[in-house]
Amino acid sequence: MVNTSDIQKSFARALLDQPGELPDDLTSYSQPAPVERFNIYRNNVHVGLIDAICAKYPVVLKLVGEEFFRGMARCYIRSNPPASPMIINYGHTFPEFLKTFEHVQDVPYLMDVARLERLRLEAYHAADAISLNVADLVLIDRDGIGELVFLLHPSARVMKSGFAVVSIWEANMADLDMLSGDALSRSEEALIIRPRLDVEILKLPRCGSDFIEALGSGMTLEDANIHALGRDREFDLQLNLSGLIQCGAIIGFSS
Amino acid sequence: MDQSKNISSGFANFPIPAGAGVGLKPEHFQDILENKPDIGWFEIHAENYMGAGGPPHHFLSLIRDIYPISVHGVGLNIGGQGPLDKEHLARLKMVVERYQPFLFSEHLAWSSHDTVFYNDLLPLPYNDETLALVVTHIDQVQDVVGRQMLLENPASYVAFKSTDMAEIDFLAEVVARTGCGLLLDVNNVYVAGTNHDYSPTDYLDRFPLEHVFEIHLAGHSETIEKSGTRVLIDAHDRAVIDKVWGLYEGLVAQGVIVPTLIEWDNDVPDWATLYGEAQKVDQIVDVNRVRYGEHV
Repeated sequence: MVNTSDIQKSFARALLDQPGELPDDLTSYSQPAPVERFNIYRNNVHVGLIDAICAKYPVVLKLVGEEFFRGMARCYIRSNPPASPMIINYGHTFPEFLKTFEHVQDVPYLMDVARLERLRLEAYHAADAISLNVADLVLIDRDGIGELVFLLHPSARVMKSGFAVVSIWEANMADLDMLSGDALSRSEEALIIRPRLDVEILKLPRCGSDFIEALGSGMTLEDANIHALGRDREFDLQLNLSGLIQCGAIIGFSS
Repeated sequence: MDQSKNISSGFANFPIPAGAGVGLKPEHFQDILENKPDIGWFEIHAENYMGAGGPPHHFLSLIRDIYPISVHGVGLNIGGQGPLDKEHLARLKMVVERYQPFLFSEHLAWSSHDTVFYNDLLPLPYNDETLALVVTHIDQVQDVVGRQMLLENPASYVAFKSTDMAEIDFLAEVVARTGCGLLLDVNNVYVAGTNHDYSPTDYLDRFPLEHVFEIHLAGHSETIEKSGTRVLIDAHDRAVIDKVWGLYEGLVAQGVIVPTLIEWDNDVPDWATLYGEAQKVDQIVDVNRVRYGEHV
């Protein structure tokens, strides 16, 4: 008799491999070799995972069209099947997959749009926290402010792109005309954050993402400022810091 | 909401609401919170509430303040040949501790093999080997979660040559060895009965009903094999069919009055439609209560 281990191994392999293979030990009252019945499982697995990827990357889907996207997602799930029952996190390697997927190499901004959508999903499920408001922050002693370490909201994520990734995302979510030409290849930086229930995607000033990353790594405000100035001599600390406070990205500070 | 309809149960700390519940869907969060419909309870898929924070927990917490919740896991791999995923079990325990469900259930199925999670409820043969592994896994789950688990009978499309035990005997033996309870999915009985050519009524006549603490009702789709044979698919994408309602009425008439869930997970309808399905459950239960002379 075949053992359970071999049955499940053979069943599992046939779920993601080329169609037509029948796993060991299967039967049915109507068909001794129930390929069509096995294919119900195969189809459930494929459709379920493809649907999950579709739901997580709506703008990428819109950019390439649903039929093409589903074909692409089918390739992705075969080479990157879920490694955990946490389907809410599944698909996090999809942007890197797009980077090497040969059929989308003529859409160079696609991977960055996917990165943005991945960060949006991370922010959605990130831990909750209460943001400091402006009133909390006016109490800070101005002289010592440079020595403070600011604590960022756990949902805060940043990214830099050589493309107008935020504008592309916004235009597609709002069903506006897609960008073209120079507007498309203008670099943008994004802050993705969920201060309360809704994830917000904000365009940052130049090197704003370097500044936020520096704060996130535990640098003092002064060091983060120096770090950002090193990237861009025009970096405006006041503009960036007040923007962060207004969008709820700061949840605390320590000296 | 009438909370006085509680029936007696073995879960002293978690009073069990009588009558209908529905699967909780994000599409209905606002409707539920604004209108506070008269419904017994909601069931969640544990895996959808395993993130750190965000809207899922926000809305579920608000709903949990008003309604009892039952937790239904879809990723534990109870029937898997390998060991249970301890991290996943710990996440499940967290969901149960946080939301204090009145019932907690999982499936007689497997969903992971080696390092891959297949995101589907896959079938297993019924024999001494699989019985031993299911028993070991349920013991472990109940130890870690610290609660009785209900095990759900599966819908399936294929049979195994290495099966040498009837599904009902398998379930009864699991209950006897682990002390778990059963979640009787009546649609699964109908689907599996059709797919494996046995009578759903005969199956239910033999089912160990005294261990059933919850019932599921759902819709299914249908396909035809090249041989011309009908095969039903447990799609959860439409209303419950009349024949399944008929089986449910038969159970209620026998006195099986336990929390009953309308499962509608795909092509989710508007709230009014889903609520209408749940009301059918309550009507069936109320009619039978009257027949039994109970105070309604």
